[in-house]
Amino acid sequence: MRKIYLKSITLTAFITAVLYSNSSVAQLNLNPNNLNLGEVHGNFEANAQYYIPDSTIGAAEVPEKMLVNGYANIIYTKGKFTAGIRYESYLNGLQGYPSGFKGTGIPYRFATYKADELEVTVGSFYEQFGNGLTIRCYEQRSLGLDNALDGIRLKYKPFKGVYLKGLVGKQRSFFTTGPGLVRGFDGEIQLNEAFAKLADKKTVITLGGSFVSKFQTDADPTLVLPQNVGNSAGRFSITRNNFQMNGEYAYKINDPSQDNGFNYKYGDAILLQANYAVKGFAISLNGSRIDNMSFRSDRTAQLTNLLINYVPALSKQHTYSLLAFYPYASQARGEIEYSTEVKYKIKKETALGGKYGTEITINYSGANSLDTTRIKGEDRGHLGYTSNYLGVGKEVYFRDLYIEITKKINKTWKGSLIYAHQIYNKSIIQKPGSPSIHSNIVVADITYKLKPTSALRLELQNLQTKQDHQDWAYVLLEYTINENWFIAAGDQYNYGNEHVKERYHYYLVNVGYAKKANRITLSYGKQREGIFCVGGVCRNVPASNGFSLSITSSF
Amino acid sequence: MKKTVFIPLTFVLAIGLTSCDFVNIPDQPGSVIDTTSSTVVRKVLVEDYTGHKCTACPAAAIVANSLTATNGENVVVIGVHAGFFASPTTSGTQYLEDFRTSAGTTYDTYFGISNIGNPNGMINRKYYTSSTTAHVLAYGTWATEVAVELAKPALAKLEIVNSYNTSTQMLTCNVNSTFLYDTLTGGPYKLIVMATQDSIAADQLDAGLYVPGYIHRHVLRANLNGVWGEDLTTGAIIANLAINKSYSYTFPATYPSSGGTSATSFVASRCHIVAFIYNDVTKEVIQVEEVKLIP
Repeated sequence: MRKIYLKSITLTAFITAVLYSNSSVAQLNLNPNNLNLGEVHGNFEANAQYYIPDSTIGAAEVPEKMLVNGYANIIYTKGKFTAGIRYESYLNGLQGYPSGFKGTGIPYRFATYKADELEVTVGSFYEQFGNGLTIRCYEQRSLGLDNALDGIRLKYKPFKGVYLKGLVGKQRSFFTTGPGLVRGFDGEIQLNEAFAKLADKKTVITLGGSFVSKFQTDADPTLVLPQNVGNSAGRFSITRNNFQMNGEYAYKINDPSQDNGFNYKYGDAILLQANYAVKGFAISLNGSRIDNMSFRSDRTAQLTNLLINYVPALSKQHTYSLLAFYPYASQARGEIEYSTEVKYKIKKETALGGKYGTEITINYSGANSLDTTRIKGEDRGHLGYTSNYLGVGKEVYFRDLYIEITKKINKTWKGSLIYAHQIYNKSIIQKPGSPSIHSNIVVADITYKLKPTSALRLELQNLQTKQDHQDWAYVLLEYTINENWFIAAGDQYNYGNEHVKERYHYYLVNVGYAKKANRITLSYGKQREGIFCVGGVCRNVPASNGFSLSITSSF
Repeated sequence: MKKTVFIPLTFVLAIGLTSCDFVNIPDQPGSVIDTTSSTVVRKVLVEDYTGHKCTACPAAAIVANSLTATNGENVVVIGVHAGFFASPTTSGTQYLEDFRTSAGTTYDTYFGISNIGNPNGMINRKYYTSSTTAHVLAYGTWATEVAVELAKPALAKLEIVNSYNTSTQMLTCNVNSTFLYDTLTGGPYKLIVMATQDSIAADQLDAGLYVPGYIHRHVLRANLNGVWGEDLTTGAIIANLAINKSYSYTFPATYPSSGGTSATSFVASRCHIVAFIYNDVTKEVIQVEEVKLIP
């Protein structure tokens, strides 16, 4: 019996030893010389919504009940080599997303290798030349916008301070690519880097130029459509001490498309920006003139599909919901836009500054139509109109006067008070035939710090207008329980609607948990129908009601 | 050094050689239609879904008109005013006219056109499925789709004979439909007959501008045999057998017939009768014909 017991112990020890040694051998075999096998990183995001129909706010019934958008990036890096994929899943795509987002696939995959001064990318990539007037390929997931290029890109640095880029590809269109080819070249020289004599100068100057051409077959029996359309631009940037200024001019040849009503007029754009900042004071001035600058790789594409270039938005980008209620969308067909912002901090220990100082921000932005004259009589060239370059059209597209005062009262209390007056030409920006909306908005944001990682925040917002759906109020209370948990409840109330029965509440409750690289948010509530914009690019959002779950994670 | 210069030069040359196409005269030379031939030709139905408050719709109308200008009577255009942008304004002095019809609104809802946005349209109602939007075509694609359809052989022949009484404004319309092949599959095939009115001067938003005397072309006014028409075939198709259908319709003085500020006058000399045959399963139109109300 004792022998049997000893035997069994020996056998167990042997098996354990073999198993252990086998696993050790396996590990050693995978990397016998302790080689650098590179690293794999990635992230994951899923947004799910369970829809409950609500006819009062126009939330339609969704046959699937629940819709999910999912994304996962997996990127492998080893030294100068990087490769990656993005898996996307729309089962089916969330309401309000472009209907082309359906199903699953790997629409984004790339490999990049850097060999000294040359960097080569094949597959999918994003790119921007200058301010984006000739090309800006980017992803804005919240808009359902992804105009990545699928092709080849080269980046080359022939001399110190000289940067060149060349690319060719087709643009992403949902799970396929658009019909047009995009070819581009960009060159930039940083004079202070390139010339040793300028290396120590205070004035830093950068010059650049780009050219982008698209090709699309002409199959039109009635019109002679240009198959190759070029868009070129030149730019500069000057920085001296606290002053910075940059500008860009772009010129596009005849590009008849659905966006411009198959107009054969050239397009051009000029953008100028200047900033000056010292401690406690900053000022920025921005202006642009855009004329017929829509540039897509499919002349019939609409909405946010297959955009090659980008018309920068100069208006203030708001985060408070009622300030962003009527957001301005840049008008690539034509506009004159401007903005100026002054920030000033009243010093500490003064009558107005108090113990911590007081920050004041004033922003004024606006946009008007171009000063154009329609071509009367025979218009053999299909040019449509002429525009007075130095003139400003009479039609107001947008105005926003914004005044913000932010103050920290003591170690536990701080707050912001904002007033804004906006004019929003809904007929141009959103729905033709709509009246212009003049609104006054007041926002108060108060934070009370309970502990170093715990705080209560209250937002009170009010929007008053005689147009559209009239007056709105919004209240949000957010409680950050600790560094991991938060809970928030808000209600947007259309209390001034002239149709009393349509004075709807749009309430929303959020609970969120975040720890290290993982974040989970669960919400329940209603979303009003409206327009959602990021950087002047917008999409319509339908009304919805239900539960939402958002999960993000990275490794 | 040479290599250093060579690579960027290659970039510049490669991109620079992808030249720009400057177009001075955008119009293609017009084609001539042989109206003397007895051969039946395939005609194409272009439905332009529009609205007087749709700022981009006049651009689509230009394309639709250019299709008829180029292809003559082989392209039949109807302007269907439906959806949000077609609704009349109930106060003020602008956009008061109501060009909507119950048939147009039904088509717009069924095919989901304005739900996607105006301007959009259909060419022979092809590509239709209830679960996709492939049949909703942006006007930039119309010319290509029309060219494809025109190249197909004719599957049926349509003849319209009108008898119109100017004093009573009553129309008797005889439509003869003849299938050219008994091998035609699918169906049943149905016939829709409708009245359109051309060149109505009324308000239109055009590229952000209010245009009070805009000329609305090919406006759908009424269906003579219901929204979805009536069956031409129920069983096997017999080739070269004329199927005669007769309709009576009295035109009202105005559309809508109730009058008021939203009404526009009926003008007989500017009206056309449009008839088309379609496959009731696929909804695809296989032949269309158009004649003037008063020859």
